[in-house]
Amino acid sequence: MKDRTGSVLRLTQPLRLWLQRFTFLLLLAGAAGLMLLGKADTVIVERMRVTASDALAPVLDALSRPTAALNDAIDAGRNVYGLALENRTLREENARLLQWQAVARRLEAENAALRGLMGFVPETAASEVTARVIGASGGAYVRSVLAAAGARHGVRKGQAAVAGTGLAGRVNEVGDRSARVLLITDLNSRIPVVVESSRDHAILVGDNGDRPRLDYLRPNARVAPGDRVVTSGLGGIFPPGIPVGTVVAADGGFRVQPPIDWDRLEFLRLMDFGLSGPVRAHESAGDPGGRP
Amino acid sequence: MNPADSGLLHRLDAAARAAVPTLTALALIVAGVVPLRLPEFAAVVPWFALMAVYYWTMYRAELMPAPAVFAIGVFQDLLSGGPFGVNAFVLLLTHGAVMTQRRVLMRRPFSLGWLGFVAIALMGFALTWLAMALLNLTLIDPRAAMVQYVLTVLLYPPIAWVFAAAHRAWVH
Repeated sequence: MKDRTGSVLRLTQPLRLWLQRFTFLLLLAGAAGLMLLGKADTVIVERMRVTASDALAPVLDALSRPTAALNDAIDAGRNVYGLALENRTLREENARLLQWQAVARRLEAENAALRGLMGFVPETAASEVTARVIGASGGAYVRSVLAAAGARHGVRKGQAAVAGTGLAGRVNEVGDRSARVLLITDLNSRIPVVVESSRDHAILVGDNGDRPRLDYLRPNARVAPGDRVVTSGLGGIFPPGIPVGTVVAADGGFRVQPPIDWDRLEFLRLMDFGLSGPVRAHESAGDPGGRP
Repeated sequence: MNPADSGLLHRLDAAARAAVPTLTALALIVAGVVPLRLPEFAAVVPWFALMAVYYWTMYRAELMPAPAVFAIGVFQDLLSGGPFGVNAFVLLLTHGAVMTQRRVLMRRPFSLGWLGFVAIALMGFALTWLAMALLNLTLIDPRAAMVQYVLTVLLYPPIAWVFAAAHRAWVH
């Protein structure tokens, strides 16, 4: 009897081992297949992603709230420190800003008058959704965040995500109640921009660092550190004029310092400018009865 | 209580216990994407899934089979928003590497298990970097990944301690 179980074990052991190895290799091939699939067919992968992030959105939302409270407490503690100094600088800044306000009012009136003379067609007004950031990308290779608003709130692919005063990124995946925003610092982010003072066009290229690179400038472009950079509107995804940051000189070229504290991205404004750029044209390319 | 009931309960209990290793991995992955205001943390958040796969493959290989590793990897791929399939692939390879060495690693004191993790995590991070560079067709600045590696290695002992506690409390 003992011998028999021994011989059965001798027989089944290699079989089980073989089955295990086979499963392992099959799954490894499956994972490699997923990588190719992710490269070749982004639609399926995107749908899977969106389903997963939609399902997890309530959990992440709940988890991000107590940490938000904790973060606020950390900030409050930090702020008491140096309050007097801050007060003084703020007062000075306020005085300066009041002067600017007067200038801006005058320019606004002048602009309106000139536009009236020219018969200028104004851009469509933007509608916007403000969404809480509920997920960071968590890794060294992607710069994207998950926002707690989706198709049911009117979020659509290609919308601009603005944090505070600057462009933070572009909506690139939309679920029902969550949306993924590809930040302008991501490796795959390319934004057509223009240097505000010299009107030199360039492409803002992310490389996973905090300051995206300014590429494809004309060789004799008159760009200097400190110049403001705004979206150019080329490509039809973003409207022109969204502030992106200021030029800084770095490693032989130019980079852009966004006015955004990437570590404190709490809320994003997802703005709909009613533009039908290449992103949406590409989306509707599948159905023949779509947009002309 | 009739014997059939207790049999069902017993099986449910056993299934729940068997799911603990996978659940610890999934919970840590979710925790890893919660936004914190620590400077630069999102970019260098430790690779918790790798720790979970290493620990459980080493000590309870039957509860961390290849399909579970695959599922953990896909889950992380879905949640991270990066190129698809990379985590699943690298975690599976890590699992395979640990499977061949676990008899050696398990018998040693914890510090040697940690050294094993240092070596295997290095392979895992290098492979991930390579895969990301290939899939993005560009050389990626490896500094963030290096910091992530160091953090992952340094945080392995405390996280392994948590795994060990879960191991004692629920799996045995």
